Amino acid sequence: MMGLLSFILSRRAQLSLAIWEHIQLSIVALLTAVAVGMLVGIALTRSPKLAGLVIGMASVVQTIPSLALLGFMIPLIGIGVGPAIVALFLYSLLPILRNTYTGIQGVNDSLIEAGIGMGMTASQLLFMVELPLALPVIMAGIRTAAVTIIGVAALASLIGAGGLGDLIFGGISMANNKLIFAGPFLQHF
Amino acid sequence: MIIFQEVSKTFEDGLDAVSEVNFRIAKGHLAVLIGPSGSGKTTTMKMINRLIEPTSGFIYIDGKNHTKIPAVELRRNIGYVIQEVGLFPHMTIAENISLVPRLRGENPAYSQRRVDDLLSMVDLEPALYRNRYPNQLSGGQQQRVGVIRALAADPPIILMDEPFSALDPISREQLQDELLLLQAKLRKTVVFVTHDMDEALKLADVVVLMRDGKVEQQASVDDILREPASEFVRDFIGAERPGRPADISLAQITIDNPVVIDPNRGLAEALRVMRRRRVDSLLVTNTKRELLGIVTAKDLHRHMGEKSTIEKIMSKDVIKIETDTPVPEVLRIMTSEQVGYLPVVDQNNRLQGLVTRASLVNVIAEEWGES
Ligand SMILES: Nc1ncnc2c1ncn2[C@@H]1O[C@H](COP(=O)(O)OP(=O)(O)OP(=O)(O)O)[C@@H](O)[C@H]1O
Ligand SMILES: [Mg+2]
Repeated sequence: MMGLLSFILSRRAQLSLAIWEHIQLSIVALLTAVAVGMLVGIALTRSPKLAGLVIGMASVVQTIPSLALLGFMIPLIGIGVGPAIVALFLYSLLPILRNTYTGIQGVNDSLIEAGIGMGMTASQLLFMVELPLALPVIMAGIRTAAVTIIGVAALASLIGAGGLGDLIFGGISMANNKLIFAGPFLQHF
Repeated sequence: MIIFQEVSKTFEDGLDAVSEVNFRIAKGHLAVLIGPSGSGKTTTMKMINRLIEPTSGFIYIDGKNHTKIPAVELRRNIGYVIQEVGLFPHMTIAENISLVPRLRGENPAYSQRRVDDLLSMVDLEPALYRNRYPNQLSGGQQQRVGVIRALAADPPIILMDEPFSALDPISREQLQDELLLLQAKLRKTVVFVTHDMDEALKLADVVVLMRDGKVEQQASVDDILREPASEFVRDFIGAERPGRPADISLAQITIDNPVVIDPNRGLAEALRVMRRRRVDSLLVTNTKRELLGIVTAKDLHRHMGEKSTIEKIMSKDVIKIETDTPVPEVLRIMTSEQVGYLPVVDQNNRLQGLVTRASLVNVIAEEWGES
C-alpha cells in the first residue's frame, strides 16, 4: 500500500494528466447525457406510445459490452476523444432517460389533476410539479450514470482518448502492478 | 351563474357518461350534484373547468360560452377541491395556498397576508402552520387547506368533488360546518359533488340528482324531500326521514317567555336573574318589548367591578329571526352563525320568543317518536 502511494507521488505529473483527461471525458459525456436524457425523458411522458420503443432501444445499447461498443464505433466515427465521449454518452443515456420518464410518470395523478385544475400551463406543471416531484428518481438515474461512466471511461484509452485507462493498460502491457492499481485506485477516489 | 344547455359527453370508448343535461345554478348558491356511482357527477363537474370537454351542448358561465374562455384563464377563476386533497408535498402550506395568486402573477406580499387570513378562517394558527409541509398535517387539516387554497384567488365559482368523503365522520361534520360558515360569509357559487344524502341536505341550496348521465331532478332540499320526482329519487333520498324540518313550524320550537332584562338595570341584578333562572344570557328589551341587545354572563363578569348599566355593556348586533322564517332557514342560520339560540321578533322588532338548540332537539325528538 505504501509502495503504491509513493509510486503515485513519484509519477505525479503523468497521473494528474491522466486524471484530468478522465474527468473531462466523464463530465462532458455525463452533462450531455443529463441534458439529452432529461429532454427525451420529458418528451416521452408526452407520448407514452413512443416511450416503450425509445427506452427499449436505449436498453439495447446498454446491453452491448462496453468494449464491444467502443470497437464497434471505430469504423463509424473513428478514434480519439470525440468517439469516446459519444460512447460514454450512449452508455449513460439510458438510466437518465428511463428515470426521468418513470419519475414523471410516477407523480401522483391527483397532483397533476390539481395542478391543471388550478390553471397551470403545461410548462408550469412541468417545472412546478412534475420535475420537483420526480427529482429524487432523476437524481438516482444520474448517479447510476455517473458511476457507469467513470468505470467505462477507463476503456476509452483503448481508442486513444487518454485518461486513467492509459495507466491501467500501460501497466498491463509492462506487467507493472503498481501502474495497474494506480488507475482504478485513483478512479474511485 | 352556471348554465348547462343540452350538455352531453361521450368518451372515446363510446360511453355516454352525460346525456343532454340541463340545469342552472344561481350566483351565490351551493348546488350539490348527487347520484349513484358512475352517474356522471364528476364528468359533469369537470366539464365546468374544461378538464373534460363536452361532446355537445353549451355551458355558460355568467352568460359567457365557457369554451370561448382560454382553459388556463378559466381555471384560475374557478376554485377546485378534490377528494384526494391534492396538496403539493414539496410546497409549504403557504406556498400551496398562494399558488393560484402566484400563477396569476399577483403581488407576493399581498398573497402572504391573504394566506394568514385564510388560515385563520379555518382555525389554523398561521404562525404554526404556514411553513409546514402537507404531510405534517392531519387529514382534516389538509382538506381545510385544500378548501382555502381554492378560495385564495377569490374566484366566484368553486368546484368540490367529494371533498370530505375520505375523512372520518367527526372531521367531516366539522368541515361541513366550516364550509357553511365560509359560504355564509363569501357567497360563492359552489358546485359540490357527493354520494351522501345527509351531506347534501346539510349543505345544499339546490340539489341536482343524477342517474345514468341524466338529471333526474333539480330542486331545493325542501322540495326534493317533499315532492320527489320519481320512485328513484324517493329511494335515493331514503324513505321517511324523521323530524323533517319542513314539517315543523317555527311556533312549535319557540319558547314563548324567554328571560329578559331592562336596559337600565345594574350588572349585579342581571347576574342575580341569570342565577335564579339558570341561564347564561339575557335578552335586553325595553318596556315596549323591543329587542335592544343581548348580554351574556361573560360580559357581566368582564365588567363586574364597574358601576354600569346593562345598556352600556350589552352587545347590540343580535342575530335574530322573524316570525315567518321557515324552519330549515332557522337551522341554517344556527349552523352557519354557530349560535345556540335565536330570538324571534315581529316586523316591529318586538320580541316574540326564543329558539334554542334544546327546544329544537325536544321537538324533533317528539316528532321522531311519533313516526
Ligand atoms: N376518462 C374516461 N374515459 C372513459 N370513461 C370514463 C372516463 N371518466 C369517466 N368515465 C365513465 O363515465 C361514467 C361517469 O363517470 P363519473 O366519474 O362522472 O361518475 P361519478 O358520478 O362521478 O361516479 P362516482 O360517484 O363513483 O365518482 C362512468 O361510467 C365512468 O366509468
Ligand atoms: Mg366522481
